[in-house]
Amino acid sequence: MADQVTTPAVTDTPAFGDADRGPRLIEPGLIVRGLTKAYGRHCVLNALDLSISAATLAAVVGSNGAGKSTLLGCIAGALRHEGSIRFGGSPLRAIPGQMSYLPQRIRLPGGATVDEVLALFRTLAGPAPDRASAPDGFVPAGQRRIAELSGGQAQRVALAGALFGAPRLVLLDEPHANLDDPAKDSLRDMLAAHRDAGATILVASPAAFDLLANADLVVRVEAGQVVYHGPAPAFLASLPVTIWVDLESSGSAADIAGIGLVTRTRIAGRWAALECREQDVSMVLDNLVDRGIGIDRIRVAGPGGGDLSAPPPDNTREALP
Amino acid sequence: MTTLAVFRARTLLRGKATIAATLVFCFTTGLVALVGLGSFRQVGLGSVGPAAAALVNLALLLPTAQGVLLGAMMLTADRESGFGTMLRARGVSPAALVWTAWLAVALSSWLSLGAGFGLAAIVVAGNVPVGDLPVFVALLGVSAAAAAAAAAIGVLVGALVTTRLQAALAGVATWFALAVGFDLAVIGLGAFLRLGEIAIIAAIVADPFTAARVSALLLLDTEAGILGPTGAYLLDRLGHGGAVAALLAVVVGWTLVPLALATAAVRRRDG
Repeated sequence: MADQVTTPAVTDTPAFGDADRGPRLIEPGLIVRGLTKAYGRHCVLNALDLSISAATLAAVVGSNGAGKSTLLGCIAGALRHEGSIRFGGSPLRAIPGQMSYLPQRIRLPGGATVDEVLALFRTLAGPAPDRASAPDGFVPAGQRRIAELSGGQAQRVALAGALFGAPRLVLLDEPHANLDDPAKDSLRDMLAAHRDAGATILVASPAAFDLLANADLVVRVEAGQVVYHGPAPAFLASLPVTIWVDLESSGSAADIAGIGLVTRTRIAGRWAALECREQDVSMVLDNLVDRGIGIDRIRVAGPGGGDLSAPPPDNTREALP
Repeated sequence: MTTLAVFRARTLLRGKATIAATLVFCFTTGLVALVGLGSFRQVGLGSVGPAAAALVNLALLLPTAQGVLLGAMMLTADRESGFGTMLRARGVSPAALVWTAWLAVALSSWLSLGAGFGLAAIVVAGNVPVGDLPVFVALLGVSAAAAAAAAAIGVLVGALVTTRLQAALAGVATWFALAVGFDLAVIGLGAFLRLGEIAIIAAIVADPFTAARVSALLLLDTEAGILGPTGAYLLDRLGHGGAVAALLAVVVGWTLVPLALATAAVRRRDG
């Protein structure tokens, strides 16, 4: 993977869609310097540096425990830390209407109704009109108690509350959790509206693929450091593709042994998962077909379909020649 | 801050905990009033009869327990659920988080007190002299002040612990120490160590529930005979009105200081 360490400050990687214009002078957005956070002796963020310009939607990705949530928590002011966090040229402070934060696994008060929660966050968002309204049906009926809602419905209410008003900095920690596809689409549209209006948006997720179609920038955090900071298409291209092979008809894993260009293999039930670089997919497929494995037994998951311990995800496609 | 206070109060007041606590307090005060009807008929509320003493003790035990426990749970629930950090990022200050939590919990306790005293008033109506009504209202006020202090102490506990389980355990322990333990310790140690005046002052100043109980008994019995040396000491040094005012100042102090400490704790800790 062609990782690159973050580059600071004044120039930044162009936003997605601006690739032809080259590096540009950016409006000061979020600048994090030397961010360090430890829980006891365990250092979660280790002198992390990060720069994200205004009007940017950044996907913060990384494995479990990499420090994504801690990073967002520190920026949101929820966690005490060392180092500086500046936004718009000044030290970041929680000013009403300026910042919104959706923590991971948020649980809204169960006794409140949907309308009451939304009214609270509408008031806290300040007098600015909403940049992006949740579409009809995004939030459940207003009189329902939060305790009566499913996890996905409660998450929608929290998201609608977090995206009220015109915040300049939006921090969402795993906002896609429990959301169905229409809700994810709505969220994508709302985030695009905020980004287009100039907001700096950080969205953390271990499964980056919920985000990357819409992200301008990818920030990959591992072991408390930024290990990649660059445009989303380049990040996508660097990720492996998973090829799933149905073993059931042959009943043996011998068919897939020793295939060149495969970087990782795992058997999950009747499925074998082969991981390879995107540019090697066609050669691996040819190799499989040459070994007598019918194309109807092969499915391809796009970059990030790589949970090799589980059966193929629903978003796989048939490996048509 | 007003919006958040209304939101918290509305959510808490219709919660199961508040409803259950209110029903329990109503039932017990109604029962005490009914059982003590004879006592109320004989001595009214102008002096300390068994029924009046039971009413005072109930009012200083159950709603204070409600205040400490709900107060302790509220901030920890905010922290555990992420709701508090979501609010803080939107510009809600630590002070607003703490004070709105306290107000909601205090309102919850006051609801219990109002319902319980209201039921007791209905039961004893016609059996106590109308002239005792101010004493009855004053007792309600003292109990409300004690409940407010209990809510503040609970909120402080919630600001200091991490989980709701810790909050529940620490809340119960704190309430027990203030409602029963401290009194017993002062009585035992005061006599044993011959602390005299220091023990009396400590017993009153260091425990808001004791201060509230003593001021309630002073309201019922202007001679303070039932308070023994404590009453004699207070009346001798401060007079009746001064003693009640000083005791209420102690209770108010036990409300404001924990809230200030809780605000500082929330400001200085993660989450």
